[in-house]
Amino acid sequence: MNKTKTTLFNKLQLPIATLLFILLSLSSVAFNSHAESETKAQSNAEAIEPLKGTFLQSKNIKPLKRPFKSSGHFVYFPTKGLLWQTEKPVKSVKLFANEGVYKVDQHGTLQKEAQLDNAFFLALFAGDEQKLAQFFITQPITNDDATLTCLALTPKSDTMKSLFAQIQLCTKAMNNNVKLPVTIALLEEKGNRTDINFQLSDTPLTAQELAYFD
Amino acid sequence: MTKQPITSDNLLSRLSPKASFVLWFVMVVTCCLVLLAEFSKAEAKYNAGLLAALEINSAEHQAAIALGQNYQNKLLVLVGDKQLQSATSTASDIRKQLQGKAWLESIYSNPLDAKKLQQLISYYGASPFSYLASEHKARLQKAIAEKKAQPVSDNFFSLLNQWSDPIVSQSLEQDATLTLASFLKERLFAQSSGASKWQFSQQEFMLTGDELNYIPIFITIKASHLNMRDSVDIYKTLQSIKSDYSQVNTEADTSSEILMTGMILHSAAASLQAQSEISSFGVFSLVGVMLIIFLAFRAITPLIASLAVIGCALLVGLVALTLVFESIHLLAFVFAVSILGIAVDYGFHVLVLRQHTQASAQVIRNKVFLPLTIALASTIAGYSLFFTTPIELLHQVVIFVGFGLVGAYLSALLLLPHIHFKNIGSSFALQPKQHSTYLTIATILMLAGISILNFDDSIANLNTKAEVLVKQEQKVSSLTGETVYPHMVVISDKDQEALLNKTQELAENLRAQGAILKSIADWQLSKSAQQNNIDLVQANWQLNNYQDVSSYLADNAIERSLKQAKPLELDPAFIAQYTGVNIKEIDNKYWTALLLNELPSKNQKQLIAQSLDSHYINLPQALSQQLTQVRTDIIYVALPAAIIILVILSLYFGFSSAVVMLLVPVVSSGLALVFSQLFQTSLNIFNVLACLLIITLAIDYMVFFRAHGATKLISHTVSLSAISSALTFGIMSFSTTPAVSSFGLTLLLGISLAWLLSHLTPLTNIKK
Repeated sequence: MNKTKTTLFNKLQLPIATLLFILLSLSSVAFNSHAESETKAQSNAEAIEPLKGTFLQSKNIKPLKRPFKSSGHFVYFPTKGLLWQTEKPVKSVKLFANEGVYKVDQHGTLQKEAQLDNAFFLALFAGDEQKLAQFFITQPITNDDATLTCLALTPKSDTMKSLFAQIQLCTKAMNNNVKLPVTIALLEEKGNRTDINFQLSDTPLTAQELAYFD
Repeated sequence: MTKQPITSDNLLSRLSPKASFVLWFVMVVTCCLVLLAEFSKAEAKYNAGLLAALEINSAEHQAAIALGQNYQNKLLVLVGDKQLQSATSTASDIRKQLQGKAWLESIYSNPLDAKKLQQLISYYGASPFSYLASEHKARLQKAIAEKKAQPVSDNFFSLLNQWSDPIVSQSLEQDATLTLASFLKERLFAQSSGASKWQFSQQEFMLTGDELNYIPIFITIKASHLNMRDSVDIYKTLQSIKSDYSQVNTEADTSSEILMTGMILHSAAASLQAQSEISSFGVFSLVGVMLIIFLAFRAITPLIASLAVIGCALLVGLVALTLVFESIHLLAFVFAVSILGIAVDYGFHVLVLRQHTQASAQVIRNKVFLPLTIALASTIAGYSLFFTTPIELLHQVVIFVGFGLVGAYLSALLLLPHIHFKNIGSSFALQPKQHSTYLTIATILMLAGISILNFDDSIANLNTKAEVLVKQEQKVSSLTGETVYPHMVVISDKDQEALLNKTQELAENLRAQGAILKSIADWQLSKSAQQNNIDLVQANWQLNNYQDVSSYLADNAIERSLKQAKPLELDPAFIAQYTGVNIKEIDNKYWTALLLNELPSKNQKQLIAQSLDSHYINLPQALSQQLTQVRTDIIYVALPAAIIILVILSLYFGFSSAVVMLLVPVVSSGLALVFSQLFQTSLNIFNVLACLLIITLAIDYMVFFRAHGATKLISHTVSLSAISSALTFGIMSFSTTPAVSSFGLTLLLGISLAWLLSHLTPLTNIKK
């Protein structure tokens, strides 16, 4: 019996060795291609262009007899931050940068707002599941549009729970591996609900808008 | 000519041994019963730290102390970790660990939590137009001036435009115009801005250090648990949490730390230090005194008898202290350790006679009665001079030592003459050649040395703070960008409304000059100021400036709110929970304070000085000045006291003897000050107070020498007294509290000098 086994093993030795060699070669190709894709992603990130779009926000708050609607532009610079420009019904500009949140006054001067948190907003806007998982229990939501990835985010911390009961986020992958939110729904404990819809626009970025990210 | 020893016949000397013992026993049992009753009544109140021992009488300082009480029950713990999430989770664990503690009033990490916010909303929501944010107020004024609705609607829309705002969503039901939300946002966030480095990250209220992220834990302790025992418990609990956490993290090899600040921690640390000194000094003194007794008598009976005298002194002293004072300062016990040295002296005088004569108890009692009584009276008189100081700690020392010595005196007279033992023991006698030159040289030295004396009564030099706590405070202060203990400007008025107006005006003026401060007027407005705000909203409503806002609100919502609007009743105590600033009534006046983040500048100080009924408070400086005043006053008190002593001594021993008997103690204490100066950079009030005691103790030595002659027996007794006193006072010079160590050092030097000069100065050749 042992002898048979040995003989069989001897017979299979060559094909096994060949198979292992092929597998190793494939894996090295795969590894190289992964490394290549990382390098690509890096170079993509470096070459990432800021995205400009419009938003429409609708707030359904119980004591208000009609929804409060606001609209404006946003500029999203994936590695640098988000510029949020409300145009209607009131003009205001906010910059969610890596260093913090700034209110931009009418003279264009930045004023840091200590009470606002940039990390959370940027993670939400980027649809960064890894970062969002720090604050939320994330669950995928099914939807009709196959191009969208939708998540239900339930807050983990008491602080966050006092703000939101749940956040529903749908993102769409852009050409350059960048995700962009399409809709964000903020659901509060008391039944208040804020829906924000995003749409990319062709309007070119102004020098002033870009200057905020320097 | 050698004087005959002075003896006296008295009631005590006629007592039988049994009667003496019964009388002594009754005294001890009565004291024990009183002490038991006192301790079973309630928790004895103790305090620690030198500041707590001082009394300051001016109304503004009393107000500052009363207003500062808001800080006494607050603790800030900072949990630092490289990972914010780890800091958050540790802070949450610590909060859970402390949650059930009986002393805990509140604990939180986010000062804007839902519960606190809801409490503020329900108070201010009763009349939401009474309080306006300054920016909102400016917009309302602009809307009227420019006859435009836009500034009013801009405020409303800006607030609604945010993704999510807990203040907006929670206050909407109370006030849909968002006037209240604007006010609360401005006030709450103004608290966490200014020079402060507080911020929100990952929705956590936090601080960023050079290497670590810090999550705060704000702790408020119930007022009923601010006593010494609970303070020590709280301190130990936090220290134990800190050390558990440090251990876990050392094992996990991550960089982290926990910082703690709060006045109560200093009290607890001072208490632990005082307790440690009381026990270590007590044990050393007792062992030293026992050793001296044993060497002097080489028998167990006198040792036990001496211990009975010391025990009785401590017992009577403690009873008096608990009966007289509501709150006892722990440093009083540190000072009072000196009673061991003085009390045992009384025993020595009787026991030495007993040892060297075979006379009856009655004869011995007769012999020691007068010198012991004079010694007791002069020591109590000396200590009583401490009553002239405003330092309650010293009043407690007087009561403890004074009554304790009465206990020692009675024990020595009632119990010790009946003791029998035969051992000779070691002699501590010294009989050098006496000559008046020695006293003359000492006097010249003292007079020459007085010029080098340098006094500094700065309270900061007298008190000690636990170094580890001070370091943590410095770090917390640099992290938060705020001073741990703010600088205070107190303002007063007979009318609460006027006080608020005055406070608001001064706060605005100081802010205009760059001051960062907290003021109750940010949260409590006078009714007239509230009505002005309501009127401003009303005016905008009448001008139809709320037109855009109204389109979102229920029909006539603003009109209804305006009809109901009326100034809110003031509730400074409620607001003090959030702001740390209160209004207190002292001396029929209302007082509040502005809490400044930094020392006021020259201009700001001028502004304060020009404002009516406003005072910048520098409590340590005021206390230091008061101590200097007391130190100079002591001389005026000591002079008449010295004259009285001179008169008493003259009556018994003649004027010439009395002058020398007084000169030796005065020179000893003066030289003690001069020699103390060699060990200390500057002298203080406690060195001077020690001089008063040196005089009283040295007079005892002189009285014994003068009453019984400069014999070996008296030298032996005086030497024993001096060694035991020097030992018990000398040990105090090792205290970590400069006040105690200064006192101990001067006494050690003074007693040694008094002993030396009492042996070297001839008294018996002076004729009456």
